[in-house]
Amino acid sequence: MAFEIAGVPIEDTFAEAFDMKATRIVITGHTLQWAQDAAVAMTGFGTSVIACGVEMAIEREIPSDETPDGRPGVAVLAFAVSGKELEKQIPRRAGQCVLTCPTTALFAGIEGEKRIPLGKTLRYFGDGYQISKSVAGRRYWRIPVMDGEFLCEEDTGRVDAVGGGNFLLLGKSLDAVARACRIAIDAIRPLSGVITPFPGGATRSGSKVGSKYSGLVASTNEAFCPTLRGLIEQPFGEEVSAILEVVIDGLTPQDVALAMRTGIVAACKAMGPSELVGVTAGNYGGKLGRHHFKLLEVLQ
Amino acid sequence: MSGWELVLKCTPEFEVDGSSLTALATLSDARGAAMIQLVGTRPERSVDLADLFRIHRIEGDEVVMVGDLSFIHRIGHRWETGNLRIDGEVGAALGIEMRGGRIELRGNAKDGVATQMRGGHIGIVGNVGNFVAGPLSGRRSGMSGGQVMISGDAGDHLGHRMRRGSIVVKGSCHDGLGSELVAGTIVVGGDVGSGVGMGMRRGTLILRQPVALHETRFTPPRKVCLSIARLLADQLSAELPSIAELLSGTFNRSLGDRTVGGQGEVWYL
Repeated sequence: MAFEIAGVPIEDTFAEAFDMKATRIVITGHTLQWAQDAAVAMTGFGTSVIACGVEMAIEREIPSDETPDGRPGVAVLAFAVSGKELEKQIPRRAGQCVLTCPTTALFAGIEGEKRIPLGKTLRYFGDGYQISKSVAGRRYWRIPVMDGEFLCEEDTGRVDAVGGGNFLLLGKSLDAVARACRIAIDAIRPLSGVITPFPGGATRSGSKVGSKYSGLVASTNEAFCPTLRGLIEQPFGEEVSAILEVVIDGLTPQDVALAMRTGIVAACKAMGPSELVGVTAGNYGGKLGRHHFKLLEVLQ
Repeated sequence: MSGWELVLKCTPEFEVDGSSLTALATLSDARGAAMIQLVGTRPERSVDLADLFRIHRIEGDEVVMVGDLSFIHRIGHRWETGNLRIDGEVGAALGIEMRGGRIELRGNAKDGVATQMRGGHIGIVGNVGNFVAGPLSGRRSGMSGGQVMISGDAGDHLGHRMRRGSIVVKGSCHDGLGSELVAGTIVVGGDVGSGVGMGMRRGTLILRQPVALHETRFTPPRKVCLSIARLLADQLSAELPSIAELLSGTFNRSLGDRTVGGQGEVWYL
């Protein structure tokens, strides 16, 4: 570990990320709170494609003068391993979490030749009373609901994206690494085009591919579990007592690299070597994902 | 697409069908352009384009026509790409079965503008006649896409059996606005005549003025504030700021025509 940031050693390794399909939607509401409520519900259980089908999170809040209907809103990014999975997940979540949420409206948030259905699917809830309306070349559906109308754009764009960018913070204590994570996530949050889909933006359950149990596609990465020290070979020393991982999905490799750099630098500068033992990244030997974010290059 | 300018030099004694003018959009040969024939509507006579117009090649991808063309009907028939600009009056059925591109008219148009139009944009700085965006004879529905913007007034049955697309009239319109409307959006900035929305099934009529709707045909007015209205307001803010202001707030909405089981809507002050 020759390279350091604020005295925190950076391991010469890389984060292995994957091609994904992504979309962005915009949820508006009578107040920002309603829009956020819908977005939180929709992005719930959207931490990992391993079992959630999709990785989703709020990208940013949008002021009312930037939204299509002039109301406050939030942008949500969603990533999946295939377009087909997005086509399954997004309408289902929109139907249960946005259509149901008082005062909200749902709009496309990204251009793309391939499309993910929104109102195209949800309109049938109107049971024949739905109204289609084209405005400026875009098609919307107006579905009568108890608080008025649920306005929903016909579909949203789908783009190629990158999922699984990551870095691991190695801490001298759980408190130190938890605080370091929060600082990194707070630094990443203002960036556009990226999300950190795990709870609070970080995960403690770094996983490896497969398991001793048949049928389990992923299981705990014991090499990074400090409580197993002495039982198995581990790539860190005695001073590491807790590790947390920040996983980043982005619309472009550049977005992911910028988020990794921003988060790592912020955490290292805030915590220093007295709290953080080092920073590393998760990979599978480079055999699974074609995007390799080398920490030393990302941080240059 | 080729650039052409056609300046009227004489007017025949009979009215003609201008459908063949659409070929100018793809012609680059001046001789070919001159030989385009305009067939008379009645009696059956025809005339070469060069006999009526001075024809010039011009820079750019547009066809420009200048003069009182009120004797030429069906100009812009199945127009598909590029611009058609007209300075002067035109006959009936401007932009009939239009599919794309733009038609800009500075002058008045007779009946049947945008008949069976499918796409593109028609902008008219002037007045238009009856049955804008209606169907071809024998068809059940009319205009199915595109936009029509009229700066002046419109005649009777604006949007009759229109199925999709939008019409904005900055001035007033006569009787039968949106009669038997299938769907689509019609905005009128001025006064409207009687029989608004008679027989309409779906679609939206947006009016700046209060309107008396027959209670058996339409639901009583109900104050609403709709998100879709805000989107429309953004589109109309430049051309019709008063309508845009109306749509940004709360306005009256009635549904009908109930006598035909319609779910159309009329928005008004």
